[in-house]
Amino acid sequence: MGKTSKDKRDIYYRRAKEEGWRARSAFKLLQIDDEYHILDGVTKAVDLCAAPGSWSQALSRRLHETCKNDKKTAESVNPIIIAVDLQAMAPLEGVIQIQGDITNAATAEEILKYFANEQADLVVCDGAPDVTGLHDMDIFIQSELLLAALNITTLILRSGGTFVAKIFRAKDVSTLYCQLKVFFAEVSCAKPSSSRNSSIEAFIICKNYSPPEGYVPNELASFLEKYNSTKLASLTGINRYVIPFVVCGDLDQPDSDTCYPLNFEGKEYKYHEPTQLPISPPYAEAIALAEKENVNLKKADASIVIHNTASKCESSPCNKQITEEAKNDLATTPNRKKEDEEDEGPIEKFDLVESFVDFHIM
Amino acid sequence: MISKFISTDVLAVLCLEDYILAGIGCTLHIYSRFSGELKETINATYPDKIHGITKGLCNRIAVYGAKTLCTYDFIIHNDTIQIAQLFETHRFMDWIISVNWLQKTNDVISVLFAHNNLYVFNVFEKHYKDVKCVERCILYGGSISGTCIEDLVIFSGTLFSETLIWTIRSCNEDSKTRASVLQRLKGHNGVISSVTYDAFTKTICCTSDDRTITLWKVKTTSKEHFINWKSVEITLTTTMYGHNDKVWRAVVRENIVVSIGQDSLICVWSTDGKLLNKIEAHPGACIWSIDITEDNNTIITGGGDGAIYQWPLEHNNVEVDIVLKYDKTRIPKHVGFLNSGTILIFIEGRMLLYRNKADDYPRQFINVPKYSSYCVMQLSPSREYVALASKDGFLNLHKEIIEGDDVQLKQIVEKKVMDSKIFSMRWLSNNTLLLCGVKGNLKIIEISSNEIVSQTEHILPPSRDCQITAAVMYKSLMICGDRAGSIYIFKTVESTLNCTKTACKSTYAREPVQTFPKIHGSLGVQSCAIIGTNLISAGRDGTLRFYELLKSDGDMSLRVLCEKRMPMDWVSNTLKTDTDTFVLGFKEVEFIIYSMVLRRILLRISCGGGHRSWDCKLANGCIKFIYIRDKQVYLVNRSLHSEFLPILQNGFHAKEIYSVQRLLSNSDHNIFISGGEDCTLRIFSMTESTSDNAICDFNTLDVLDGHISSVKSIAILNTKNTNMFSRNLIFSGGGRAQLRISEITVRLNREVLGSEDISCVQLMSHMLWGTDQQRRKSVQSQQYYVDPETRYMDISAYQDPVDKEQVFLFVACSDGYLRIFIYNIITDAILLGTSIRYNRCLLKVHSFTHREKIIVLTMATDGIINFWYLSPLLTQVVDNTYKNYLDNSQNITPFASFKLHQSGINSFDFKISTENVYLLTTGGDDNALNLIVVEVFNLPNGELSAKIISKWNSSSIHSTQITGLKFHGTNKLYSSGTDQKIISLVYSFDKQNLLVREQSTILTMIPDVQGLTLCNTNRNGDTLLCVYGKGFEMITDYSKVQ
Repeated sequence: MGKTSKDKRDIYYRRAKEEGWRARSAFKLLQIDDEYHILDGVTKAVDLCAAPGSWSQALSRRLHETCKNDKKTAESVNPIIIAVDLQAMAPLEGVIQIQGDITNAATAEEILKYFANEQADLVVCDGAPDVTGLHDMDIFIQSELLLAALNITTLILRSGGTFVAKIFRAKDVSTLYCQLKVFFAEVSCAKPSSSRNSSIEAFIICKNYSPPEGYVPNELASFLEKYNSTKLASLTGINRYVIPFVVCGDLDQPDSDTCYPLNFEGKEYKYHEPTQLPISPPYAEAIALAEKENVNLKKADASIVIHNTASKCESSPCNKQITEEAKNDLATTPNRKKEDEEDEGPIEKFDLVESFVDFHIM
Repeated sequence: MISKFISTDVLAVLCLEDYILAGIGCTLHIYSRFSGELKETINATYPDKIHGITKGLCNRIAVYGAKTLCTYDFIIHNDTIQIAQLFETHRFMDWIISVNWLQKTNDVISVLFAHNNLYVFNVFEKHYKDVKCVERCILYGGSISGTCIEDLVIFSGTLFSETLIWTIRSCNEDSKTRASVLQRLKGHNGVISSVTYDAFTKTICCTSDDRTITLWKVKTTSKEHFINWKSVEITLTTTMYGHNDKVWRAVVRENIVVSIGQDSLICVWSTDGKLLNKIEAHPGACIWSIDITEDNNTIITGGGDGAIYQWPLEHNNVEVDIVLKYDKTRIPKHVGFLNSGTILIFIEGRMLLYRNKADDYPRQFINVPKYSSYCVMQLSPSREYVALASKDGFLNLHKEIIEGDDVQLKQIVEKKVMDSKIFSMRWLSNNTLLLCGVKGNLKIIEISSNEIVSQTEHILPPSRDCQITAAVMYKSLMICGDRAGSIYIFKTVESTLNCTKTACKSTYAREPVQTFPKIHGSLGVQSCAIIGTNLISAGRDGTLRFYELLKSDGDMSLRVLCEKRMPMDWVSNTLKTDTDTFVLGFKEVEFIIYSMVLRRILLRISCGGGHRSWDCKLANGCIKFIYIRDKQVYLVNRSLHSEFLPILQNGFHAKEIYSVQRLLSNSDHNIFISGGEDCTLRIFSMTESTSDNAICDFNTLDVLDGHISSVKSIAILNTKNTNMFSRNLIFSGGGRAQLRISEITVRLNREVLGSEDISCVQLMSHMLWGTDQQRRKSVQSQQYYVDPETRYMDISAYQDPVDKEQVFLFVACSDGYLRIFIYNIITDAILLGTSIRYNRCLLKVHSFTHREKIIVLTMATDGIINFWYLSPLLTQVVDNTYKNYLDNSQNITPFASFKLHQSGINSFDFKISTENVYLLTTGGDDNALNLIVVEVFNLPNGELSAKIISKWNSSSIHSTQITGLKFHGTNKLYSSGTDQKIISLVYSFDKQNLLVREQSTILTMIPDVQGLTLCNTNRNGDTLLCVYGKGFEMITDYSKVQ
């Protein structure tokens, strides 16, 4: 794929690089804030599943900016922003990082410590799981991720606070809406204009946190189990999903589906390197090994096998044995380059994965 | 509404005696393994999809998917199968990862869930025990092993790249203690997609997103029955790399591991890690499911293309290739099979004959010293004659003489026929040869009573590499292909025997009468063949090309029909059999035989590539293939029988389907055309047998290649309809701003239509910014303003009612332009007439005539529908007389605009209600469904205008994007959305009031729904809906239309 290919395809991807955002998803949060003012009055914010950090970056820029402006006029508090992720992230100015698991109660305690045991005003989560390619399973896992985020949120969010998270609008989404409605007075579904029309991704905006009576924080799973079998089952038809849907970002903002020429709005196009390199994919080792052993695994009889002779299962691989029968062959047919292989990639489809930059593991 | 047919991801397959069970959507399909026939279908897990099928003792079956579990008893008696549901369908709160029957009791089932907990469930007593593992994390894969509660062991594959092993023994029935993790297997870098344990070999096999398969040995000291999983030593023995994408599943059988991946590959390994075979099983699609028959002979796979295939599982490469023995210091040059099956090897001026593979020494030596340093050898089509050509223009002919068991080659003639070296030669018939000399000089010679008679002489136009590589005769036409990929047609004489000299001279021409320059790219034509009245050429560009031989005014000419991309790099040859046409070719180091009827590869033989001489002969259901490798001659004998395992379910598009349009729909036939992410167009028919509740079936009639990116939209224009045939122009567009035009003729003279009733001509391909090659050239020359990422989102075709030659194509483009093309049917010329700038990604376009005025509707990501009056502009464009692009349309504005949605309009339908009054329905990204009544009228100043008379909308009918809308009859509307709901609505419009009521809803099993199409009706007058997305589903609505 050509270096500028993605720039041509996606105006927000290009802009993110120009403006120094770690991923284009930063625009999604900014557009949500423009519409819902989720950052108004926020001094304590948590970004769950934060890597590579574009939402933390957006939170930091906006909250610190507001704080500065406020300082000119009146008294104000410095905002505290905490980013949580399983993996380490490059440091960000004005953001405290915690490397931890959101399903672990200890992580919640650590967060609260930074807030001097006060609760957060805002919790956001733009996390998406590793996709399998099976739509129903991916949707299920995304909903589980959202519920895990909700579970920790019930530990760290102050009453009246706001929760924003990524949601997949697909089969059974109404069930999720209902479950969220139990915890928040106002729930709506938002789609920023930086999110593509063809994508099933949307964001759930939950305002005014007010947990139901008798709810024990961190016990979401058992609470929902009870709720699902009693209350939810009785909610049918139209009652299950009267959740307003709001598009964020007006018509002046660029359209993520439109392909814009590179020299756009009178500006001369200049290529920018991505702000943050993509997280290395799980198959990085397979690629590196194939390169090192000079084996093209795409060939019909190519393979690499590692025999492990060490006795412990954690030990590292040794005894590489290469079985590439093709090697001895004098004749190979020319590798015809498919025309669409070079700079073509299907552009938009079931848009679970947008890019590696956008994306990380829970 | 009832689902009649589904083709989508096949997520589960299971072999049960002579039957194959498969889960497609929520429907369990039962096929006979040997006949391939679909025996029965059961609606099992609705509204969830089947993800797995597990077998217990006595053919007790559990079918599960997502949160639903069903159980059945299968009673198989000879040829009949009875299925009884064991207990009612059970719905859990959690996602099922794996299910296992406890075989010691057979009425207890254990279920592993995605939150790493296990249910032990007595299906009759409804009594269960729930054990949670200490480690709470989401599982992607896993399995349960054991035959009774005491020895149950759970293998959990986590998203943290670990496999956990735990048991439930330590947990008491009532205690709330969680089961502890006994072992952690760490050896992967990605999500664990599956874990299986083979109790027989004591091997654990894991597959992962990191593209590897790992094997782990459980070291038990003795033949102990119980394994102490806490203390047992488990070692990683083997890590296998061979897939190019996520590995999804693997099956271990004895010493064989078979893995499947999202790269469409089946890899067969030995347990010590040797790759035995790699099969591209479901090209372009993920493989989701696998099982191996109980006799270990056959692999069954189910794919993302909806296909279910059977593959022979060959253990240690049963067929041994035989090396023919000869003097190894010499280099074999040519090989071939004579008609008797005798093997001919040409080696440094000698022809050697081997009767069969067991021969230690050749049966006959023939010395032909004239041909020792340079020789061209060709066998005649009947394989009875061997022609040798030399560097000094000599031609030598030998004939095969069979006397009893003895086969001999006898020279019949040798003569100098050319003044130059003979570069190549091809047999045109059993007694005519085409010789190619220096500078493209061609000579046709005839062999008549052992004499060589010169016929006509021809010349190839000058080119880089003036050499023929393929030739065929059709009546008086000689068609040949050259090394540079061009095809030439020469007029010659059929034969001197039935042609007087004068007549010959009148038809004969030295120069080609027709040329298709570089039609096969620049790599060369490999063969030409005549099948019926069509010519098929094969080339090194990996395609087969079809041509029609036309006769007009006594003159013959060739017309290009279409091309078909073959799953190989070089296509060498076609081989006609009684029921099929085989395509022979090479991909990398493999020789490939592909079936045109089955549309799949039949046979792959690793031979080192197609550069050297080879031959392939089909006799008595056996394929004989001979080739040279490392100066050795190898012979392969393969029975095609095992390669012909019946297809259980035919495949469809490998990826998402973006458009399905009705090509033909009447009481006898329903024919559709579809396009999608896999860059193909497919023509398919749906058939319904006459009995009432019969299952629909579909038949792919043709597959059209040629799009270099996804196909987003298809527009159809019917040009002729008679009782005998229907002719249509197909306009397809999509990624990379490519537009293709094809003509499809469907002949209706038979009750059931097959591939032979469809003929397709690919008329042209147009790319807005030119092809990659053209663009690269323009970069070198000067400025480079290009936007290759523009997608054509939708196409509307409009035929001028007066000038029927002219078709306007309105194309909605992702760069915010509405582009208008003019296509001339007669001259087959296309021109970009003009474009209108809108500045938002256009998603939908529609054109219609309103009182002789052309009105175009556009819908974009801003949620606005615009009405454009385009007649004046189109007149201007046409007046511009096909010369130039009209760059003057920036000022045009719509005469009416309605903001109907917050964001993108993804679907619409439009129809006339009464004069001037139209019904419009739109569905958006914002869940909203609109039904509006619009009146189009003239303002006092004569200008057009439109207003909404009545409006109805709902945001609660669907909870997600609405992607499909269709009006039906006078009062019905169908909608589909990504929430997988198909809803039928009934509306009435009366006295300015629009009343809409939901009639019925069904959940489709098609994920990522992209739209829906209606077919008129079946014989009973019911409506048939085709819902498409990742696969397609046919749904019948029995409620009658008014």
